[in-house]
Amino acid sequence: MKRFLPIIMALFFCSASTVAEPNREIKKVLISQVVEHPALNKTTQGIIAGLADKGYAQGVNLDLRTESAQANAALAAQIANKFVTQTPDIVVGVGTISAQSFIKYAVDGKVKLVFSSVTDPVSASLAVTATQGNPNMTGVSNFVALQPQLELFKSIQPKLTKLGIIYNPGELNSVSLVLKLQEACQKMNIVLVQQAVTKTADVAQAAVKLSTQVDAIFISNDNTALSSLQSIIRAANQRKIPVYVSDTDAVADGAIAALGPNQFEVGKETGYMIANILGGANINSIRIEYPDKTELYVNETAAKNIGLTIPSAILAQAKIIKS
Amino acid sequence: MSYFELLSSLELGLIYGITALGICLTFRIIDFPDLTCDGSFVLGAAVAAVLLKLGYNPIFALCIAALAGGIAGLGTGVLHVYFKMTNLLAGILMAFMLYSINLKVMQGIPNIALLNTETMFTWGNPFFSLCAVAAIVWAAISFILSTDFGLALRSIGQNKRLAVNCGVQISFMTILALILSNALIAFSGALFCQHQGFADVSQGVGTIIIGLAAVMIGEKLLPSRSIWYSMFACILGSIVYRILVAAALHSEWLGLQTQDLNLITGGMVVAVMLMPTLGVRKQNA
Amino acid sequence: MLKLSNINVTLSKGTPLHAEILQNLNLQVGNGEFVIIIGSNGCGKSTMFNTIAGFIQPDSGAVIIDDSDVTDVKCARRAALVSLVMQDPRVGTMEHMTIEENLSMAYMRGKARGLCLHNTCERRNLFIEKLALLNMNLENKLDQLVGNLSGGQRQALSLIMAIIADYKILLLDEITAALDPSTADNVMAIAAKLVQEEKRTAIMITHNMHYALTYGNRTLLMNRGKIVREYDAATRSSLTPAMLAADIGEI
Repeated sequence: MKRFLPIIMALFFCSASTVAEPNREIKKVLISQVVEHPALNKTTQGIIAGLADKGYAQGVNLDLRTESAQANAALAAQIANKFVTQTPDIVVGVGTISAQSFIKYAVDGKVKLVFSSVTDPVSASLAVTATQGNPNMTGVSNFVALQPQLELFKSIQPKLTKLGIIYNPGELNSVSLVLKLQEACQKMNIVLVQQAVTKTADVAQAAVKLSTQVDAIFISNDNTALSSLQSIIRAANQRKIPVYVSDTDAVADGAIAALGPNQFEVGKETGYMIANILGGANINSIRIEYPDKTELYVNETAAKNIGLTIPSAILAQAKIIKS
Repeated sequence: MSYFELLSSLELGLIYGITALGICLTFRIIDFPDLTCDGSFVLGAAVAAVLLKLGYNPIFALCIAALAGGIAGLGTGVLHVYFKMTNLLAGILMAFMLYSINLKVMQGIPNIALLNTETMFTWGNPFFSLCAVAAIVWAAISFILSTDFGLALRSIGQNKRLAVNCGVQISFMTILALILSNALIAFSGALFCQHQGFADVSQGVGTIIIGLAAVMIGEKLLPSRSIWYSMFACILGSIVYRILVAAALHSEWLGLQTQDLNLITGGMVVAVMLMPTLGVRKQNA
Repeated sequence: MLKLSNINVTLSKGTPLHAEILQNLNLQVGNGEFVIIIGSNGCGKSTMFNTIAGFIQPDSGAVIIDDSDVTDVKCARRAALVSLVMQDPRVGTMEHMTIEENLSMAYMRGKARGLCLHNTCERRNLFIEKLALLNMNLENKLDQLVGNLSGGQRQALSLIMAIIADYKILLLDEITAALDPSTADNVMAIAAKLVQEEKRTAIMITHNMHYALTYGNRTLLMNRGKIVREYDAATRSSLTPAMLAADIGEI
């Protein structure tokens, strides 16, 4: 329950905001979030927390509002319309579709767009190169360097040769990640076994099948797979193989280990970036950021359950969770 | 609500108005609850996006998208007529399979952005282009339904027994109607993708609900027995629906939260349905 | 000319409801003849009509219209030859369409339906002319929804719909059963008048003994899937409705 408290508070603040007269002292930040999802909600909370760190407080010098597009592209378009007419200082797109719905307005110079939690800004047309955004766009990607993660898995399981991944081919984020992961795995002499799922209901079956073929399962920031992480962990536990994740929050749910930022941190970085732009920085000169602060989380109980011993060198650097 | 927002709602309403026409064709005209639409909408968007990326003419892309939608409709029709599947199952199954087909069309990339690509909306004012397109489609569909062929389609939805008595070949006509309907929906998907500047494989979520709501609102606002009026009502209903959504997005002063949006929109649709009918309708005692 | 030879129809085959409805049925109706069929419920009258119209495929036997065997012709195609007026005017007309649209639907029976507007002037004039035969003032209500008409008007309309396009055989299936007595008499008189003017083969099922003797050239009595008795014009003139009813009861 404790982890939902910030969400409730954040939503409370959003709803309690009053429609204020345009006042240059109060900065207007409007967030469009693609869908209500634990990971994305965390990002949004992180943005609010990041802004608060920089001295922007809701109702004092900040007018912040959030809308959810409920995974509906037409709704995302209408939310974008609405936001653009409200003369915001900054619009924020959390998730690919929401960010994309602002592109045409940003290109025309009508709004400044900061995106968050977009894994591949280039293929989403949000950026020209990995670090340079399109005009009036910048943001924070949630792409985590893959090499260090694979190295971590290798050091926990030196005999790891086959790594399985469950992802939704309908999520742009996951598809571009899998492509990059394939390259990284080749370099490390790991065979990547891909298992596509198109909806949450299929995940359990896919996990059972995959767990018979691989030495470990890796779940990156795929919304479909993360939504039914418990089914994946249950299937993996039966075969006594570990489940690794990228989102550190998921370790408490029973994954063995994660090396990455958590979505809250991604949001916080976005918040800092927004504060920077509100403070007068030119959006076009701000480079797209990738989460640099990665943390190592290890779930000792989960490891013990499947009879996996984690090297003490790793334990020494890790935040240890017992659940 | 500002002028700009209203204009955008009108544009979206016109785009989805064509979807509503397609849905009206199946659900109302031939009484076939076709659930293919969630898939064919994306199919249209996907085909258009891929063609535009390859540098084809936007109008050509629209036409090929409609053709692709027609083939999807043919699939549903064949499943229903020749494989004897119930209409609901045939549609659901086709939409289900279309998910994979759509990804295939998009070459495995679930989201294609069209920034810096020529679309029909880079040529001129989007609102006027959409008005023109919607008017052409409206006139074409209304004309088709006013012909002998259209009359036969309508008879299927009203009285199958009499239709057969009059020599209408039900299965053949059902397939033709499904082709036409899904071609319209894919056409509308292709417009949406050009208008919004991207195609996403999840774009079709809720198409059927949007379309049905538009059809129902239209019937309420413009009850009529003339086919030209009732086809126009579909587009009108779609525009009104978009305006309702835009209004619902402005309901924060009620102390409502983001997740209440569907509830508010739904409530407004119900309110429209409960509204006393405009104009006087003569009823026989 | 219509000829049914050795028709056998079994419904619900292989289930406990297995029923041999028509058994070696033979019937011949010449051109211009108007034949009345009577018989108790379940004797197979309607099944015979459905077989003629092509809704039911007989297990054996042949349906022959004007010397050509149409047994295997599907009902949608057979509509060009056989015109059927059903018992319930709500089934025989489309209530959400206008009178004109209903007639246009029927006008194209058995023809290819193309992309030409249906509401042409030419057709409209034809419809007005035919509707005028009814004396119901329907010719001035072409744009009215059929749902707004009374049962008698709708049944009269379905009669016009049945004859508006070309056909060889006209089937009238208890066309007055759903109407009140005075409307029924009116509709029956109209039907008889139309049949007489059209001069084509017509068959009518009725439970009204008075109609069975007043209209048509001959009357056939059906029982258990067969025609068991025939009354020609001479015999009919000596019978009263009560005697005819007694005959049905006897069998």
